Amino acid sequence: MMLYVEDLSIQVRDKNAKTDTTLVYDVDLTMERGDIVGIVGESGSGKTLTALSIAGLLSRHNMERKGKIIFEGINLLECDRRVLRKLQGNEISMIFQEPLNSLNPLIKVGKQVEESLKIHTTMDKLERKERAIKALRDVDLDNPEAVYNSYPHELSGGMRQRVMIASAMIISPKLLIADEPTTALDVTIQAEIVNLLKTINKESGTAVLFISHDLSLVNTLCERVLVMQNGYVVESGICDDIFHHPKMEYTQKLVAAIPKNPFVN
Amino acid sequence: MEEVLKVEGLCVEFKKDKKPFLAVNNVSFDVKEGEIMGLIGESGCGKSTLSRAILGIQKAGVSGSVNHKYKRPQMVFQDPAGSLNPSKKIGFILEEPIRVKGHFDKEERQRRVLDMMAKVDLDPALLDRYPHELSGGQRQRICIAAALMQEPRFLIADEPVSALDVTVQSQILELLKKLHQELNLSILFITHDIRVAYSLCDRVMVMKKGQIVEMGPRDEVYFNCKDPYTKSLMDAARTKYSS
Ligand SMILES: Nc1ncnc2c1ncn2[C@@H]1O[C@H](COP(=O)(O)OP(=O)(O)OP(=O)(O)O)[C@@H](O)[C@H]1O
Ligand SMILES: Nc1ncnc2c1ncn2[C@@H]1O[C@H](COP(=O)(O)OP(=O)(O)OP(=O)(O)O)[C@@H](O)[C@H]1O
Ligand SMILES: [Mg+2]
Ligand SMILES: [Mg+2]
Repeated sequence: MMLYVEDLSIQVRDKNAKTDTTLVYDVDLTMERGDIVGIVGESGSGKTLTALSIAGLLSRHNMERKGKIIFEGINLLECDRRVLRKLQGNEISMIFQEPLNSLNPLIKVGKQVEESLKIHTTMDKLERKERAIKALRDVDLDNPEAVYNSYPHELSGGMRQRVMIASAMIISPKLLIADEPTTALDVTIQAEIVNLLKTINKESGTAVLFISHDLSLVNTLCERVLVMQNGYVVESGICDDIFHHPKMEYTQKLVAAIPKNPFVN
Repeated sequence: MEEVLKVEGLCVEFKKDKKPFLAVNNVSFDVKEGEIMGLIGESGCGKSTLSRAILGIQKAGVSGSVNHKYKRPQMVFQDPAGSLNPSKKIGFILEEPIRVKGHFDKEERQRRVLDMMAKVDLDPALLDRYPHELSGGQRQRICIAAALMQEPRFLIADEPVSALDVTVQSQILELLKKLHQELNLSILFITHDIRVAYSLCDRVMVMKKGQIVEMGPRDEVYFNCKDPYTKSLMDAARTKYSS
């Protein structure tokens, strides 16, 4: 088992009331190498918090986590900070929901895309640059050299999102967590990104945890899916079953609310 | 003036790799009173830059003319995180603009804030939080709420529902439709989702590499377009969403 999450719950301490509020309840999830699992669900249901805790990135948020997150035999909730840092960006990497929040505005994007190569490989400067430009081209950015030399604010929303994807995939992690990675992208580029994820998955065995509110995208990419609502996983299983025969009321509502295709009556 | 917005020959020039390039290239269009105009087009084609130039936030490199009927068009920005003051609580962010105006007493302001939270389907408990303590979709709805608090006559919304799951998304679209119908709100609506534009807009324009390549009534653009790029966009949507 590559990833084993059991009874994960996440609580936040209220500043004034000094009470704990639970935001995520009892999430279970297992992933083998090469698995692609989706998470869909209501806005505010706990998808991002779940993802951040699996990526080991929640500690800085003053939140309490309970349960188990075992990655390759290491319990991420208990292990040493240094162990965690070694895993991050190398074995586990994450595409964040809001690219503007996670790119450093003062550093050219090329340097940010190369970052994990610098930390985790012995590549020299030139090799890193070449690899970064290839990664930028892979996410369908035209003129990747110009993008390499740009600052984040000089790029459009969708371009920044693709920069994030490039930097998370550059080192072929064992587990890639993608939190709403294509929200700013139109269907054509979305399809490119999905193909890219499939390729890295096949060629490097990268497992992908894919969070999205786009059900048709989840259905084309993922084998299994978890549906979250109000901090709970309310339904989980094989995509086809869930989307075509949803059992829970919320999942049924979700499937029914997919915007109508103007080209089909 | 029958138009809430009239744009003529608008250009925005940036430098890319030290060479000048036109992110917005000679764009002309108008938005009529009570109309929802959609703007679609591929990533990086200049949609956000165009909206920033229309609002006057982008000044460098801008030429052409922009005329507004109303003084304060409201804007919902593409990046919710970047447009909310991180050091203020949500309650303050929503109340501030109507407090500054001074038209309402405290009680009325509170009532309006709570009312707006209900409209965008958010728990009032969030009012006591800071922006970073919300989920992505909650932040996006706060941006919409903040823009609507001021009861604008004209709204520019840049991908305002991109982070929302489909149930909440349809609720927000219904809210905009309702404001459009009941208060005659005019909207310039930017989106990459062809279905969303279809469900909401009266007219649609398509942008490519800084230029408007197609513009017309919604059904014309969707089912009878002239421009090859528009056609490829519609074809891509047709194949993707039909599965
Ligand atoms: N720092 C915090 N303090 C208190 N509550 C928080 C904090 N961060 C997040 N929350 C709450 O936890 C819940 C889950 O948030 P999360 O970001 O995981 O949602 P999500 O499923 O990713 O939603 P979205 O689809 O809108 O991005 C939300 O209700 C949010 O308001
Ligand atoms: N401040 C800037 N300096 C230089 N170039 C810029 C700047 N802002 C935007 N650009 C460039 O202008 C072009 C248009 O960007 P814009 O953000 O308007 O695109 P968009 O249509 O909104 O795309 P998206 O759908 O991805 O948000 C892009 O090539 C971008 O790199
Ligand atoms: Mg989220
Ligand atoms: Mg944009």
